[in-house]
Amino acid sequence: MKVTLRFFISLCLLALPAITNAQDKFERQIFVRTGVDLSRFALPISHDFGLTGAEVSLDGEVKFHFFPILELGYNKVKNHTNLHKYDLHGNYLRFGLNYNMTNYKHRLDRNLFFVGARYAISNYSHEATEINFANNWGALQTSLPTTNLSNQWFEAVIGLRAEMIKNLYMGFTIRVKKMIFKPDYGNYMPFWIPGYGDPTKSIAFGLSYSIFYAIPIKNPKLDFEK
Amino acid sequence: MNKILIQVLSSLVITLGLFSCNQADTVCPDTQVYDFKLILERVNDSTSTRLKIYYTATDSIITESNFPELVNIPVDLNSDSMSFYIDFINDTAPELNKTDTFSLAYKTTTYMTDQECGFIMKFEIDTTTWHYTTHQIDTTLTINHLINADNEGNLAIFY
Repeated sequence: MKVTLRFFISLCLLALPAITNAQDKFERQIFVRTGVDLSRFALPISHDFGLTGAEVSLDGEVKFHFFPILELGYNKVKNHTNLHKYDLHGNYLRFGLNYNMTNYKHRLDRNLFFVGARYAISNYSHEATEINFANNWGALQTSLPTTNLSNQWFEAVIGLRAEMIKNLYMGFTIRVKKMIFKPDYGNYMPFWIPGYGDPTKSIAFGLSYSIFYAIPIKNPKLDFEK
Repeated sequence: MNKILIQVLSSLVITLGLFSCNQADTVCPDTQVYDFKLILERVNDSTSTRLKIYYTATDSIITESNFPELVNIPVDLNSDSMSFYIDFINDTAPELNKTDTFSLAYKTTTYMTDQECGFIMKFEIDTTTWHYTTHQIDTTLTINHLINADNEGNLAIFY
């Protein structure tokens, strides 16, 4: 908890210089930015227990410096070994706000260096159709019935979005996640909490590396058009 | 902000993330199924020269040796109780041989540790149904009714 608190205080301090310059407002382009988290496709490489997933995001600048964001994701675990056949799948939703700390000097500037916060909820189910045990006296096969679970957590984030070519962005988000609600797992703790990660950790870290496409909705009027 | 710098930072962070997010720091138990640990302490027996313990259901010998102090007994996964014979054998005077029985009932729990270690099976001894004869056994003591990774032993038999 102390770590999270320290992180938030640091974020606030970092945001102060940008807030003080927020009065330099000018008309901005209105756009919706959709993103795909490329790092989710690397999950099978970085985690060796059959984890896959996908994540998309949607954000836009509703007010100078402020970018509400919605992130939707899916995780699946298929861990079939000689000892067990375990499956988990579920969805997660994060919503929150990014605060851009870059002081834009041009109305079309859209690169971001941001801090932000998310509230996240994950709904998932898991089951083990086979769990095999054996010792000197013989073998036993048992199973875990399908169990539906839900977790909620809070995230503090920091990240970058850089426009590589017109309307196409790449960037990363570093996340610190603090679990705020977890169900009673009983004897069957899940292998993975979709969107959160390791269920044994009350504070988890995460990283997203995404590609985005910004769909312009309204372009600012140029000075000679006014 | 310099785009090249952002690209470099982005690539650096993703690379670091990929290679650091799955560092295994978990020490898994060395077994999926824990054994029942029986402590045998010779306090009054002055006649036997060795012990033989066998499981009655399969007639399998678990140990046959000179006064073992700790015996690991695999728990029968397909039963909720086990019974054993202990032969107190005198090799030079067979008429002094004695046999005791002891039985225990237990509850089985399948337990998921984590993604690294998977599932394990734990047992809980029902101490109210612990039963033994006293031809050579003097007393018994329950040390830990949970059959788990602890090595301190579950039951002690004094003979």
